[in-house]
Amino acid sequence: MSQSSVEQKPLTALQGITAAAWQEVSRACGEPDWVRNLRQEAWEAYEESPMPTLRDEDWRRTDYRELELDELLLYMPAGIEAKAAADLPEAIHPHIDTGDAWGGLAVQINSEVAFTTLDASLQEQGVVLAPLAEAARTHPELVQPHLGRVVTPADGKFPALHGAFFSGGIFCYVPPDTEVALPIQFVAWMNAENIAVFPHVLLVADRGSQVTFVERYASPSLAEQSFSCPATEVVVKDGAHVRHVTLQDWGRHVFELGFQRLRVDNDGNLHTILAATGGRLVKNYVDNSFAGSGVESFHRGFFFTDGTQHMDYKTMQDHRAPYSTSDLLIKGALRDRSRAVFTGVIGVRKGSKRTDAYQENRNLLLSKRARSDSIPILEIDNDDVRCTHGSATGQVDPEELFYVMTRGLDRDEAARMLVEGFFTEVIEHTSVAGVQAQLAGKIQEKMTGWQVED
Amino acid sequence: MATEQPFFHIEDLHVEIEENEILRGVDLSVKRGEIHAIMGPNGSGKSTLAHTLMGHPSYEATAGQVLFDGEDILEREPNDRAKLGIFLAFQYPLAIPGVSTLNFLRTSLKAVKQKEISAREFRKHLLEKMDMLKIGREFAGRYLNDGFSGGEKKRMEILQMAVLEPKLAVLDEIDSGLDIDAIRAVGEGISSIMHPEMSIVIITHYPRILHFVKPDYVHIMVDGKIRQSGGFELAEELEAKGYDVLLDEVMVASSET
Ligand SMILES: Nc1ncnc2c1ncn2[C@@H]1O[C@H](COP(=O)(O)OP(=O)(O)OP(=O)(O)O)[C@@H](O)[C@H]1O
Ligand SMILES: [Mg+2]
Repeated sequence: MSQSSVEQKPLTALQGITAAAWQEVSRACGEPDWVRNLRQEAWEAYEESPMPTLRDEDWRRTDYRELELDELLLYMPAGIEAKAAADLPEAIHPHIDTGDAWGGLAVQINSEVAFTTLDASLQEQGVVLAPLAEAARTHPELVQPHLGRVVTPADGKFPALHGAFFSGGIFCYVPPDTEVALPIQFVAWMNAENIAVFPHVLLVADRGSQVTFVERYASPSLAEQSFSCPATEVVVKDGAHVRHVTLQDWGRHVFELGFQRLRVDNDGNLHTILAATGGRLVKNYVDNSFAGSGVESFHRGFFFTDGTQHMDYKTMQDHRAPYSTSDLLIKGALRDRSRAVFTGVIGVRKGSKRTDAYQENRNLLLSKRARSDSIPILEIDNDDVRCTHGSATGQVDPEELFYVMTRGLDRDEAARMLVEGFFTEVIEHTSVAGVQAQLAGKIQEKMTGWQVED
Repeated sequence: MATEQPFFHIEDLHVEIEENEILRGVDLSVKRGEIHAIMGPNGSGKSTLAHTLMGHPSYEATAGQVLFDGEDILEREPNDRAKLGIFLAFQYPLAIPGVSTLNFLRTSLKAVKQKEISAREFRKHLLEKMDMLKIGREFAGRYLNDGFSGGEKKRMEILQMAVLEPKLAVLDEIDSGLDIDAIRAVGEGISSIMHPEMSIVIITHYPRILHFVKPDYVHIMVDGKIRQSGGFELAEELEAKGYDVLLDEVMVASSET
């Protein structure tokens, strides 16, 4: 984004969640009035709703009270102007140089987009990849119908907070019947302590188009806390095919309270991968909303916690129209004293006949001190549907361990092979080869120093 | 062909599972190059013996010894036993989702032989063995035993044996669940892997497989003990008479002695 300043100094008056603060953010983003009005609405919703507490059903397993919102700086410049990807800080490169060819790339550092590039051929086809504020000025007809309308302030306290404070962010548009062969990636990178970031993704795949979009969230691990409050809005229009990948690999000082909604219209096809390995305390909503009929959707995801990490993911397969199928599998592994909560909701609204929804959660406890909760929820307002769900949590199976050991592997090697295999079933669905390899590497990294318990 | 000294020797082996004694004094001596068949009714302890030989942690040997090349292996970990050259083909092989047959066996071979083998070289080696055993090459890329039919799993056990080249293979009901053609294929596969330095203990309910893997000795296990031993003719006798009649004779014979 052109505003990225070279000095990495926070804007003044940006501590404390106040109206003055978001107004300052709005100025810093240089956005049109209609965007500012969205912030105003979000701010009002934020002010009107109470902070979630352990007494709220949705929040009773995730205690984020250690997050000191009022201590954080709410806008932190990128501190760099990158003319080429090579100019980006060294630490970001592993997230970009995956060995894959990218059709487009955007990198947000802290609160600002520091670099955006899109293949010339895609530009000619009318594909747009631009920082959000810029896109709001140059393509209001594409942005305005969707921005803040897929994820809304009504979705909760933190989506409302996001709606008032979002900064940086990326807009991606794929015109009707356009096939984007190479994947497009958005990286949200954070390199400072005591800050809050509010990255926003708005991806619109128009009728009959095809695109693969990867979003990743990463940072080094720092001493003092930071906060990420992202929102992702994906619109899969009639007959479009979207492959969407989310990689959450924040440093260990990061709290994240995020919200994604992916809306799919008639005959749309959605394929998602979620990989969550980072952060200190993370709570995310992943809401797949099947607004149209005849939707086919496929979701695979995993989380892997260690140390004292806490992760809480709530997925929704929200069938709002007939004849749609959804298939979701989330796997989790927990090491050390970490904690995970998975809530999987299948919603079948009135009139959504012939829905076929499948949901499965499987968790591996790699330590006796780790704890996982798996909560399936079926909300079915319809008869003529098929909904299946399953959930299983256990240790590495001793019979499988024995079998592998009889083939020459020692106990730890055998257990590692079983855990890696457990995740391979998810990772293999990642269509971007280099990202897939990275995820396999991440699993190995997570297993470092682990020994199977008796 | 068989050398004088038994290289595998089980003596008075007693085994408990959760404090129930299942094996009550098993004796068995196997020389290099020999094939021994163990037959016996359901629940008589055949698989318990097989698991104990491989070091399954739930099976506790309370008395007796198992000597392999002169060394008592009962305290050894299963992977150490594999490295010594002992292989167990499981009655109920487990599936390993997420790990391809190729990767599994390459890792396994590396662990057993303790030497590196390049991916290329191993692939060639594996495909040769698969062709020899008439196993479709597509199985190399599939996750080991994941979604395989009962018969396919059994054939994968034989493939694993072919790759790992053990000195002693214990085959626990390798023929159960196989159709007639598959029994022939598996039987012929085993005999093609067999060589004069290798020994086999084959556990089975049916003599059919023994026509391909011809045993030097047949043992009948009842109630945790080998009650009768003989040559191939014992299996044929069993086929003719069935367990009930033969066992009555065995019991009478043993109570007379
Ligand atoms: N984990 C266990 N706990 C308690 N009893 C067990 C356990 N495993 C096996 N047993 C018992 O030990 C006995 C011997 O079982 P084993 O599997 O060795 O028999 P087998 O001769 O292999 O039978 P089959 O011909 O049916 O395969 C059986 O009575 C069985 O129920
Ligand atoms: Mg058995």
